[in-house]
Amino acid sequence: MSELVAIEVSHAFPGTRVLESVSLTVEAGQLVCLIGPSGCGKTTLLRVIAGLDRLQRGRVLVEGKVVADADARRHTSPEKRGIGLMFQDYALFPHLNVFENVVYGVARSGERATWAREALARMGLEGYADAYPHTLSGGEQQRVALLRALAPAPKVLLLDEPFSDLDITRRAQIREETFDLLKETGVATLMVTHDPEEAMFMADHILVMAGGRIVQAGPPLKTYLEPVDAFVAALFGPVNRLEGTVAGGRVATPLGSLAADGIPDGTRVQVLIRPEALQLDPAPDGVAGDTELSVDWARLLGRTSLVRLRMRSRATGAEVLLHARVYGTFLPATGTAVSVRLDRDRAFVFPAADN
Amino acid sequence: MRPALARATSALPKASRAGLAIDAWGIGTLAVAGLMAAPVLAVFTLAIAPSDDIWGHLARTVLPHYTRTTLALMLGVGVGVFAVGTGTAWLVTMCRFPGRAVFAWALLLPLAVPAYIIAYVYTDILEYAGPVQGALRGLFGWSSPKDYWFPEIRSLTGAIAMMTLVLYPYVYALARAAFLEQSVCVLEVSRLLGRGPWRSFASVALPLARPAIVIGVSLALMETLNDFGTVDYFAVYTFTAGIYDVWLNMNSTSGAAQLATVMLVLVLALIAAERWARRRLRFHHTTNRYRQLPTYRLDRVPAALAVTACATPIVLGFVVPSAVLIDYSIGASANTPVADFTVYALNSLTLSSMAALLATGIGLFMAYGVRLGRGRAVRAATRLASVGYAVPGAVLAIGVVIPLARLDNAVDAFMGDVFGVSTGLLLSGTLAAVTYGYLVRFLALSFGTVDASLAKVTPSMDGAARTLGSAPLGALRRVHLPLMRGSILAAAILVFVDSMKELPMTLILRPFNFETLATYVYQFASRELLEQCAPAALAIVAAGVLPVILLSMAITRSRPGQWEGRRAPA
Repeated sequence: MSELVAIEVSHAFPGTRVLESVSLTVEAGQLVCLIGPSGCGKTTLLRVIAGLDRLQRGRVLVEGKVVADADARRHTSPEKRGIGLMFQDYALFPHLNVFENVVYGVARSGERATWAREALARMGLEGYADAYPHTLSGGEQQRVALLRALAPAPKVLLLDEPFSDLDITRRAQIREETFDLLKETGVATLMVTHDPEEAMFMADHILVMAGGRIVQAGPPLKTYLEPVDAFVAALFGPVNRLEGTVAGGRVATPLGSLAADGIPDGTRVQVLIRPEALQLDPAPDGVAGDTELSVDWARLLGRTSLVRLRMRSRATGAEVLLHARVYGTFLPATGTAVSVRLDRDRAFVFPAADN
Repeated sequence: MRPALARATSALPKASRAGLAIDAWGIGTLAVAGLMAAPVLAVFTLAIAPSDDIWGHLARTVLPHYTRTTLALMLGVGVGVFAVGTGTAWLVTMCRFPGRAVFAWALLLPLAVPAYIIAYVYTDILEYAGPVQGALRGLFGWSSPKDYWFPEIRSLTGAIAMMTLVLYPYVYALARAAFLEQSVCVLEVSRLLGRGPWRSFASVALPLARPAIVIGVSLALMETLNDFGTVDYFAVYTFTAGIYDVWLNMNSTSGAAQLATVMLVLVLALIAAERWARRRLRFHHTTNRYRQLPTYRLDRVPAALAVTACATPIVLGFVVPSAVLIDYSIGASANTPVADFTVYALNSLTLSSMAALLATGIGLFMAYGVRLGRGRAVRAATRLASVGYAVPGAVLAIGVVIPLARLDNAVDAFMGDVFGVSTGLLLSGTLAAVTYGYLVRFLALSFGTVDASLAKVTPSMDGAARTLGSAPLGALRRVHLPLMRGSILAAAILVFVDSMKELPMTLILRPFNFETLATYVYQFASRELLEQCAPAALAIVAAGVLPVILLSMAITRSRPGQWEGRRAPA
């Protein structure tokens, strides 16, 4: 059953359109990630769904019941929607201790309070029940805020950048704990993030937002491997950009030719190639034909090596810089000639922006 | 986040427009604003009412004199409070010398002494028959006023000196807070760019503090315009004194209202200066890095000069008046019947508590109403409701007493016509009228305090409380109120103490024969019977010390980074 449905929600602040006809659905037990650059309207969408901002256009349904309908001037106040919301800054009440924070939305004794106690214990926070929020670390505060939002057993949970305030070293672990807890409770979750890795990790379904619209919706794998446009491709990681023209349904690049499905011949296109799509081999003669490829520099970044390549056209002398990411340690000396194999699953062709 | 959206998403939570409770907020705020603005509007209405060329008469006779005196008084006090306030703030913030830590808070103490009380005290000890001149005569063998020259305390210069002594803390407090809030980085940059410590202070720290100093001087001058007791006693004919003269002695309400209108022009200029400075203040923080301010150790002669400079205003503005009052109080217990004093103190307590309770309640109501996102009209209404803080008590008194009298007369006539009963004066000269006057003048104080404290509760707290099932009132009770407890108490104390000190409105609006500590002090001291009313004056000063303590705590806390350990709002 669809626990949360938003239909053609639009929202504007004086002078700015923030949301343009956004529709989405979150099923019970499903985790949907809303990803987009800062300022694309993600947080506003959460606030409108929660009822903290009044819906200007569209409809919102929770458990099949309309909680907001702009046309019918219906607006259920946030406290009656049964939606949990976890804020980016956690918004823990500083005058209440950890336990009081968690049970704010439920009776202090009773089934949910018992749940809260057990959940605190399971998250390793039983010793902190009487502690005040400011004495906790960022990760502990995050867990308290999550439990507080879950305590009233909401059918729908909204998470606003739940991991962005965390120390990078703790983030992966807390992300995993959060994932497990959400899957266990089976709550329909809509999470906002600007971190693609976070979205790929957490989501069953990813919604990419730009300029107040949803530009792509789909499972993580499809979003990563089949971005609908250059913006989505670039959002999910760095890319090398080349240009070309479609001929015979394909576009030729110095690194090889790529299929340009559905783009008419003669169209100018941009070719986006992920750094990991460039597979390097030392080769005395570089790429065959017109192009010379040599190593400009190489750096070890830990798990991977980053290699900057200098690609030079023998005919015109024009030079382009490319970045390649190679798993493990791969540090050829500057000037080394290399040959490149292109992983075509990670290279994308889109009509050029000026078409 | 992009600025536009950051602003948008951090906008305060908006509540449902449906339901009676929400409408009550909007309507209530508008009604309060109307009530609070009514006296000022009434003054304007009265001023344009036709009268027998009172205005021409005023303009020919007293107006030039009132204007000259008022401007001279403002200029003198303005220069005085600027020099003393900025100078002492500079010394205690930037230099190290013996007693600095004590001076830092003690310099606020004179704020506890109302201008009229310090005027009574100094007149008492400096007049011909007083102890100082007596001692001088004894010492030098003079026998009559012809033998020597002694400054006349009851003069314009005397009034300037008195008011400077008790009003400079406004400038001191704001300038010191501004110096403390400054990032040390900008001072260090100035040092690194080759300017010495003192020049850095003059070219960086002082200009950065300028908006705060302007606010301090504006507030001090608003108090100057408000003063009635001092100018009345010293026979310095400022507008305030003039309003009473024209109103009560010449029996011309529209004349008094016209003078009041002229005075409002001066007030508007001060408000404009203050607003301008407050806007500037926002742009004066360039970095967020703070460290202990550098301090310069003073020794020997400079240290002695610094101690003298800081001690003088405290001794003259607080220690001497308090000591004299304590001395008289000990001697006076025989003169004043304790029962009288108790009655007056209880009267003051009742009135001030009522005003404090109402002002805090209404202030909280308005501040939370604005936070619930009631729109621009409500925001504007709260501004209107706050105008009273700048309007002198004498002006407000006219604005309250005359409309009330007309209302009473209208009701009386109506009841007489319809039911044949005379209701007499229902509201005029009642405690309700005095409380109303206090509210008009001091609501801004409680609203401002509560509003500032509410702003420190991050909007996501509201959101969290609401999504966890609290309705707006529930969130207020369970989240905001507990977090704001201290500030709400502070707001109540501020209004309580200011109501207790208030003289010009109380004199006019109080019920017949109803004495508060302030009016009692006025009655006796202006008849040169300071000994008799010393306990009452001392009680007012003692109460006045409370807000000084609050203020000094607030300044210490104002320094960023020394605030509580709570998570910074995102």
